[in-house]
Amino acid sequence: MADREETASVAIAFATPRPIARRRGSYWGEVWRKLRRRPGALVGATILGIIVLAAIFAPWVAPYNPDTGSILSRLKPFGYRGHLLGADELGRDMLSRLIYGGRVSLLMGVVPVICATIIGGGFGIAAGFGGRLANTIIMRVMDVFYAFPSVLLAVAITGAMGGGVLDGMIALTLVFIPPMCRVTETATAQVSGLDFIEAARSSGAGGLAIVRYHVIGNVLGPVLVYASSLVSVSILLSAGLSFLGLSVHPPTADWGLMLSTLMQSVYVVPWVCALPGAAIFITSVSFSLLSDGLRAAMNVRG
Amino acid sequence: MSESLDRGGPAQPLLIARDLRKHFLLRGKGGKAGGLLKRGLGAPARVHAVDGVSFSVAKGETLGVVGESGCGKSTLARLLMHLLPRDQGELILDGDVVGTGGIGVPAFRRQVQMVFQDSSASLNPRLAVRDSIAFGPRIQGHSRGDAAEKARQALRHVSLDPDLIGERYPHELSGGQKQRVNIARALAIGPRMVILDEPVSALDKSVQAQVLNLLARLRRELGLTYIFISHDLGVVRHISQRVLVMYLGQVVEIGPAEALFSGPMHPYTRALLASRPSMDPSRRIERQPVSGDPPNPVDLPPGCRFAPRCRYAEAVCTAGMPPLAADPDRPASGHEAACFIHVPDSGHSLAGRGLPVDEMATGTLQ
Repeated sequence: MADREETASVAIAFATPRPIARRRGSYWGEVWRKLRRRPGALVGATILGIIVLAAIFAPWVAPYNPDTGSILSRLKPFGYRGHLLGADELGRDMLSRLIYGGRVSLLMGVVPVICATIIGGGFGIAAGFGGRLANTIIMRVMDVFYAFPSVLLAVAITGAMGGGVLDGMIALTLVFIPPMCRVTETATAQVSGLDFIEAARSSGAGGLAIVRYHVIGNVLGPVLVYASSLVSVSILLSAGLSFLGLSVHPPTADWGLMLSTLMQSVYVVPWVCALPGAAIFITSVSFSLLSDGLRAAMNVRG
Repeated sequence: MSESLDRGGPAQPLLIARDLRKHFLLRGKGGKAGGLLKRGLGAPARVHAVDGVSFSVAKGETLGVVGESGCGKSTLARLLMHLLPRDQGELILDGDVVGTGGIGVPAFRRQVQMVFQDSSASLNPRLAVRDSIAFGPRIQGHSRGDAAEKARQALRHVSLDPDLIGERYPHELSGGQKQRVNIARALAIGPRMVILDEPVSALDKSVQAQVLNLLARLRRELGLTYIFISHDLGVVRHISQRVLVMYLGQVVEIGPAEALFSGPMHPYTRALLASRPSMDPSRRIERQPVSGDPPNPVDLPPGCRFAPRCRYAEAVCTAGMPPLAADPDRPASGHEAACFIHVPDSGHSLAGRGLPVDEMATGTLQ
């Protein structure tokens, strides 16, 4: 029998693959290499880096105390007496307030998204992998949250809880859980249908081991890209909450709050009043650029 | 390792399947909603994907499973691997019933592994090849280093250099390499039986030959038993000792490869063999070996499922289901077919006389 198998077949030796010069990096190494070739993503990452560093080291970077002003320098334009970016309606240095305001705004942008990614992502994987019943229960509950416009939902939750930075974060987290859950569920359902999940199951792996080794790694790409695009939405929403007086209270510096108080003075010093809006705009554009770059770089062939 | 696991001795078949059944209930169209209007209050529509399949696989042999698309080959593989729950039927692995009262599914999976058709989709794109292979041993409780060593060994078994290929990702490999990695993944656990579901169908001819030779060598060296599922008759004939022919979820013929390919007993098998393109232009097929499409697996014809397309169909064929009957000339050969022609006194006009000689099957006439 063995002879027949040998003779009947074409004798082709296995071609030995040539050694490759450069050691192939990991998946993330490859993503980083591709990311470096995209100028938009690099610009976004650089600007974000500067903003984040400035916010972290605000006490050393900011030229003035953001909370103390002088009556004499109220609503002054750019360059007035050492105030590089002018001064606000209480005579406080705008540059210092923008730098300190970045702390709250970035926190409000990133923390809710991280929380929503963990919670919503967990629900999404459970819905996508846990079978029909789990899927129906989780996704229909998410649909209920979807029925509300996100801004209204955030305003209503923050308002009901009393208002404050923590309440704002909780509200934004709740707003982001349903879309995060849906994105994760879709990605998980796609991965779950592939043969390598069945192969893992037939090697005796249980559901948790399959999720840990085979599902999370394949779902992480689209989920991270989506999360990074949510950050700019989160910054804008939290600015809106502060603007309505629901999240950050004076005198704390926050871009949204600064925008709302300076709005009354827009005819006196228009450029100074536009600064917090510009900061929000630049930050969210940078996040969008970075997430676009990530989306492209993570699109590794299967 | 396989010696210590050999419980029943060489005479005990490694795997016996008895009366496996899997029906899929149809939802929506034609199912519950439409069903009430169309069918009255009858049972909901069901697809008879695998409908009473029984066979046994001897230790060390290769059982080929052939049939056209949709005949239930892949469902059968998934039933065997317990990736789908079976509605009915029994599996006996080397004398032990799988399920209550016998060995459990985890114990079954330590001894039986599967290779899937799509070599790309069956490898995790985010894991390096060696990690994909080491996953099985890790799950089976081996230490990290132990599993890594098993992965290296499995890669060497399939003629891939562990140092060169091990740290690559699936998208960096060719189709043939990927399928060899899949074979290595199945071997890493140290199974006694491998179910190969169309393992070479997605590969081009020269790579097919490589992988088939590799499979034949591994079977000899590791003492493996194969169930080889394919729609490619040439490949099945080449690699199998015995062949099982499926049609619409049922076994229509089973027997030694040589006997089945040289003298098919069932009209369907003959038509299947006659539909192969010939290498010889003078043997060009002018007439369709079999006409029409397989019937809808939801609305199955009564009696023999091949009867509506069969040239020899008579009244008896639609009256009842033919049992598997042995070859009357060589009853001990294990060559059986489910056709009334081979059932003595079945009422078929050809009963007991065998399938008529057909000019098409012999290829003497155009």
